[in-house]
Amino acid sequence: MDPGLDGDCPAVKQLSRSRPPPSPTGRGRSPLYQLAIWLGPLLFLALFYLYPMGSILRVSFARGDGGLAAPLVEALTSTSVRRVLWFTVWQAALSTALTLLVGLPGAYLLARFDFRGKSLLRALTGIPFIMPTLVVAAAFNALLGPKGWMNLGLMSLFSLSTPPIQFTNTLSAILLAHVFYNTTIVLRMVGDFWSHIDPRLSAAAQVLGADQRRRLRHVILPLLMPAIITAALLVFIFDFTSFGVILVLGGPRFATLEVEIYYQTISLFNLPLAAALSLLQLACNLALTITYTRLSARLSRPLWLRPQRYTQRRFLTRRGRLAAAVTITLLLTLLTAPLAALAVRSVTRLDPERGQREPSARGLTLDFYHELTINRRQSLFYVPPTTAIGVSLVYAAATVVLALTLGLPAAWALARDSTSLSSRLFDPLIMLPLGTSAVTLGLGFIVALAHPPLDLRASPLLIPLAHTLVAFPFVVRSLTPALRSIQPRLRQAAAVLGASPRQTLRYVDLPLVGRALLVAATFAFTISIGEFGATALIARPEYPTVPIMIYRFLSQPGALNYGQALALSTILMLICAIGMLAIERFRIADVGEF
Amino acid sequence: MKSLRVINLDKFFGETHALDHVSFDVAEGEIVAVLGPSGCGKSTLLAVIAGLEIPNAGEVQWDGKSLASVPSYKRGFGLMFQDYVLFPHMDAFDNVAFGLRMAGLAPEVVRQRVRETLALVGLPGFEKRDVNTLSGGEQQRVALARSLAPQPQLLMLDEPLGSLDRTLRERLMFELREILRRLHQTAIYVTHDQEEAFAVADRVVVMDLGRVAQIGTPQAVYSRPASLFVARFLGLDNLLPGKVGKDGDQFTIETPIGRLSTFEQGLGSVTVLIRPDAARLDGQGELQLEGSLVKRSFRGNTCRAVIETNGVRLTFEFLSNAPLPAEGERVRLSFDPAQAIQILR
Repeated sequence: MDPGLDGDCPAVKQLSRSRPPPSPTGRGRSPLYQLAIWLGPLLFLALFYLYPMGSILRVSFARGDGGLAAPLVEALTSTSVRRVLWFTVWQAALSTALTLLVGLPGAYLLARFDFRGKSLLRALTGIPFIMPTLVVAAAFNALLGPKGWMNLGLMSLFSLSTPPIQFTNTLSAILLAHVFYNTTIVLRMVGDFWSHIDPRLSAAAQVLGADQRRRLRHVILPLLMPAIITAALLVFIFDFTSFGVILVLGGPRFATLEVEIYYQTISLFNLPLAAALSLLQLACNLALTITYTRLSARLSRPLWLRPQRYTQRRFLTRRGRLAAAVTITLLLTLLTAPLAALAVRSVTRLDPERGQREPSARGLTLDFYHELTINRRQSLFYVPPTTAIGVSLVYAAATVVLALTLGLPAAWALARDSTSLSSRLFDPLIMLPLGTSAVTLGLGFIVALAHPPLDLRASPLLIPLAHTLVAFPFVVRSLTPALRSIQPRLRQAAAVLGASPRQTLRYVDLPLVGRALLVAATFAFTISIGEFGATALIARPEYPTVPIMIYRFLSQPGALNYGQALALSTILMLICAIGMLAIERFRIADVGEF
Repeated sequence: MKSLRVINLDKFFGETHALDHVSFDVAEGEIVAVLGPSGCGKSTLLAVIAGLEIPNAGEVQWDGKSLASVPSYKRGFGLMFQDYVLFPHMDAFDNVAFGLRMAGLAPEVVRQRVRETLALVGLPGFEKRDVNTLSGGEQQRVALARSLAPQPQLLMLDEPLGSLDRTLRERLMFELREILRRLHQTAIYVTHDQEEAFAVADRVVVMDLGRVAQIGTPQAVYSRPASLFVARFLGLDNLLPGKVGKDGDQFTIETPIGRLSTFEQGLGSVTVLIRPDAARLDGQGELQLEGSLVKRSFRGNTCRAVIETNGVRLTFEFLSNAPLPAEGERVRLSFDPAQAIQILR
């Protein structure tokens, strides 16, 4: 699943903390050796994260000569910027509240009950989170958009000539997509935490005279609050930096900071203002991320975490069963209907052909997929969509190679000795890109890497580098626990059992690291193939990635463009779903469960 | 007289028959121990009495009235959980005060009662301590104080000493009995440890696989186990297969160690229990037994000897200073059959 979630799962943290300080290769190597390991990752971060961020700073200062806070002050005093910032905050707050409202009953269900199909439910509800924003936007379009199922159904049912549901370009579209996206976070984080809370705490309160309301108020909510707040904060961060969803579903009326940076950069080419906005975004993000990290560290309190098998039971009453069925149905409808609508719509012909009033034949079709390979416009600058698939695959492969090459040494150093000075210094540094919005990263690349000394405009590596930056924290986070789990004692145990060093490598080290490497590679791959925010700013028109292509198709009128957007989105969805399955499959079983 | 009456309780968890027609009484001020191996239904029994689980059949009565429609938070019972389950987000004071606050007592009454109760369990001045940092023994006392503070009509203790080390357990065992006695507290004490049950309780209910195997005073249960299970569970391992026959007017039992006479009526297969503490070395007993001493182990003030006779190994306990021969030598034991022999069917 999602690395951020499982990495922050309190139970996992618990597990890794309770271990003695690990050291796969023995400690006490010289600081010089440590630095040598860190050299690659640090150089990468310096050149492609710190330098671009510094350039943003420089560009935003270039506007005036006020002083350090001048660009920020200037941006904040402008009414339009204040309006953007205000909208960014309140849409995120509202989205977060709605996500909690939808997610908490489901979290309770997953935490406290054992029922058939539970792992399937868990897996299904996890799908939206890994979907690229453009797929989500396309999926909601296929369900509720002007040419989506709901509108088509209502139109034919009541013989309407215009679509009755106004969904795209509304606030509801943004909110719904955000809830769709982030409900998993609440389900997983709160649900996981809840499932490890001893149900006897509630029973103890009950025997001491507390009725259900007071048990909730005095025992369950106080215990759960850290998890709820942490999850809410994470959801808020995602909603705050949401880009693709707002750009595509919200339309021009709604601009968050992220979208505004994009407009200022791409449409108006006002780089100084974009840089100032980025600075604002960066400041907010860092503050939120630091708060989040602090809070999630506090999540583990040893006394009452219990293995799940003690905390879960079957439904006892008919009423309970009914309530559960309703909750599950609602969750599944919300979280799978858009994707199902997307897949089905992409193979359905409903619109009339060009120049005809009625569709020649309604029914299943692969036309949209077939169309992807054809260059109809015969235009020189036009790129057939299949090229985009190829481009995306090449970029993704390059990202995997880059992310693993850089992530492995960093993870190795962190796993060797998490308490050493270098580890404590560099660990937060690695996570910095995670606290930086994708559009800001893209803007940083534009202002820093477009001219000497480091001119990478023409380099095919530009986009893989950006994607690596996004994937890097995930790769390190998923590799470190696996490397850490190779304790010297494990090797000693193998040796005592008669394994030669080569056999130890073959049967102990490699299986442990190998699977983790596969997981990390899959993360890098799926992140790269779905990345939109940074790519939207730096992709060259002749080499679009799949998400860029989907965006282009969605913003152009016509049934064929619509169909092709859905077909491409479906392909992307399948790739990501396969990626997620692979991650679930290769993940070492007891990391992630208590 | 306020007493608890448990009538024919039945509880299923899926296929598992956790409680199988369980009936017993607890009189006012009485301490009853429920003794049995893990998984015999002890904890389920407490959960049903506390109202946390609903029985499939049967009834719990208090003071002659059924509790079926009384939710657990209105029963006024106390339950001290196995490994305590203290509220981790509250300090010791708030933990102990919880039940008092739920009862709506005035803050000064709560404060007063918490102080008294903490003093009673031997933790005066512990009010502000974080329960997460207390030692096992201290947590146990806070848990006891929490369940005692609302002055429950019935206190149930689920393996209250289970997770403590041996020395601490023995000390707290007697302290606990002392506190319960002083409060004249009606209590059910669940444990798998016979020593604890015997030391704390007025009466013992032995349970096996959800059924009541025997009810009686500790002395009665130990000296007259009602079934093979109870005998084995109490560590009485000298069990021999026997066949009751009739020799004229006299009933006899054929066993691997010879023919024993008995007053037992009724023919057929039985199990013969030979009590480990009834063997004599002075030859004064009516029943004689000769064998070789296979092994002897010193256990403080007693000494355990394994004696083999006719291919059967029997274990006996003697005082440490008893004149036992060396390992491998012959030994001659005698018994008083009325004390030493018991027939189990």
